[in-house]
Amino acid sequence: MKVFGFLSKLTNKSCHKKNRYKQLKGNYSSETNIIFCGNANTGKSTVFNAVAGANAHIGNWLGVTVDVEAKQKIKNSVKYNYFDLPGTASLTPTSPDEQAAVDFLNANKNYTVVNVCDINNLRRNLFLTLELLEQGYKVCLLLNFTKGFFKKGGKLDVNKLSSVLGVPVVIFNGKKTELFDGKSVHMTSCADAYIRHKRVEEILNASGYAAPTKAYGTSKLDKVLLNKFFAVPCFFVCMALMFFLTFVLVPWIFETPINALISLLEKISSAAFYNNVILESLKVILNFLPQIITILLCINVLENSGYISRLAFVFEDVFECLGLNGKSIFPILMSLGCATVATPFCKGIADKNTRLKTASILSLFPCSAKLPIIVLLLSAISSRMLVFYVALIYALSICVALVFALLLNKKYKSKPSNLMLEFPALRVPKFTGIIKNIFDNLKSLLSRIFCVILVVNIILYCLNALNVISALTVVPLAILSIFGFNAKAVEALVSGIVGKELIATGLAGVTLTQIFSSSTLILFLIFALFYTPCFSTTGLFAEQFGFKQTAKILGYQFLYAYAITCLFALILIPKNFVKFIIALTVIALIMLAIKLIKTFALKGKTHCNKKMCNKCKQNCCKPN
Amino acid sequence: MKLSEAQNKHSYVVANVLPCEQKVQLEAMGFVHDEKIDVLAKSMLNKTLLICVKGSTVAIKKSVLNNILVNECAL
Repeated sequence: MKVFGFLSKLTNKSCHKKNRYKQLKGNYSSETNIIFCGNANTGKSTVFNAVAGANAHIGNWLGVTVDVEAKQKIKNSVKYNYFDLPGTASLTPTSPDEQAAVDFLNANKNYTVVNVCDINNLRRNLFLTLELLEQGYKVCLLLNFTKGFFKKGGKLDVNKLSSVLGVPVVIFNGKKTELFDGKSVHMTSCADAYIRHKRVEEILNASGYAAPTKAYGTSKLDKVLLNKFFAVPCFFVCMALMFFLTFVLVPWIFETPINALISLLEKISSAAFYNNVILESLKVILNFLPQIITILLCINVLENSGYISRLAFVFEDVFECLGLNGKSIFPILMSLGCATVATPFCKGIADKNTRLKTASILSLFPCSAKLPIIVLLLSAISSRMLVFYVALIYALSICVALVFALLLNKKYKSKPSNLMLEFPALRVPKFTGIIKNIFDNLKSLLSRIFCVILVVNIILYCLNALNVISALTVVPLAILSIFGFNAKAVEALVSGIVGKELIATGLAGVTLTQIFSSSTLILFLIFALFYTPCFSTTGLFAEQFGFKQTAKILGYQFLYAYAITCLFALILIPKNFVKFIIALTVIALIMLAIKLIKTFALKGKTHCNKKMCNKCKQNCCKPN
Repeated sequence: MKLSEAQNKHSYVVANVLPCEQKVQLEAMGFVHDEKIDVLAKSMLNKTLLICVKGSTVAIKKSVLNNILVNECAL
């Protein structure tokens, strides 16, 4: 797992960047610790970014922040330690991200807690505020989204609210606000939630609170987006629009300037090393950079508009049949940009097996790193019908991922779904927020390209020069030769384990029709899309689920990709029918052998060693 | 009656939340005695309801709503 952790750090420099809690150097006479906590989607990360000068990921859906983020600042000889927590509705957690928030609060009871509340939803948000005061925390209440609230006729006497609660109440105006002054108040604990809600109503009545807007999720647009019959077609229309922008409009606009830039780069040097390694890598990435930016833009617009939470409701019933959860749609949509960015968002799913299955299928979806290989190979088949073939590949990838989830469901049974999801407001996404997120994603992508791809290509160039590369690809070549893959293709697949862009750069400068027939090309594409996640995704997966589980899922995924490729090979290369049937039989036998070994190994044995057992959560010796 | 049996576009008043795994979370969301709730919509396969409670809209699985007992109230 340490190896995966190191490799994921190497390939994932700033992807889903955490603010590392390094000790700031500087002179200061005192230290203040401030925690931003509150219900989900109240703008805690936005406030944290504004106050602490941090760079936390923001979005208009519940579950954006999944871990504690930290940032330090020294100002006027005072050191400020700011902490951004995942959202929680109460101090009783129900999912790993809420658990992280509550654990942090319990461990740091003397810190000032800035309780960020949505002023439009105070009836719900003040429940947590009262819990914090009952537990004796020093609280400062920060009201967010106030502009729209007062503009639409909402009423609240902020000073009255502050005097009734007994704590400072601050309105967030989007600018860098200074130190927050928290206060702890003696408040009798409520055993009954009913009494606490009654207290909230009394406080709001005393403060003259009146919310102007209807509840989120009841607008005219929501009636279409959430309608039983129109919801799914609406989603497909959004996806078709994204597809049209990415694969038709943007390539048409950027084709000429990109070609001009590449011609310029070709004139820099004629050295073999520059041409074969650096220029070929740059060409592949530059050709697809506009499309990658377009996909990131579309995903960020969806993220910041509030539509993603509605999709969780729309797809909940269908996903439950596959052993997933409506909340799985969040990381699945993120994985269309990058699976590495998407994997941590699985922490918002409460059930462990559902979380595992969702994280396992993310690398099967076509991400931005796979875009070059998809377009490169399909252009070799037909450039006229390219958009149609790309759409087919996307549809195939989605089907393959969902079938994999169904197969994993047989082994990793989920608890019945207990989806409870609050809807945020539908908003026009802020341009600055989108640009910031795209910039962060691009920074990570480009740093991965120039650090990893260049380094790996240089290593491969040197290994090739020393004639060592053929020794490394002996075993993969033996396994994959039944599909007609040659040494060059296998070399590209081996380097693709580090990052999927490397498959395209590995085949750059090669005339594809010379090394592949059209059937072999399709089989190569199918296998390349599904055979393994990249290092950075594997590293993050291992962090969440452990080395043993990661190794199992990697094994299943490889066998699954091999089986899918064999099935397609049966249709595309019927003359080798027998070979593929034998290969499929071998895969089936391997799965059966694993099951039998497990059954015989555990027969008559207990599933614990008189220690605390993970399965039954107690010291026991129950037979398996 | 159980909230899972609720009709679309009707209003109800919460009578009780039965002891279950999600009781604390449901109460934090506002499902407490005498709280007025509105059923806004049902999902594609009728397994999830969209409910307005405490001024916010929440999507909840019917299996969870089985633990909430409600009485009808006039719109």
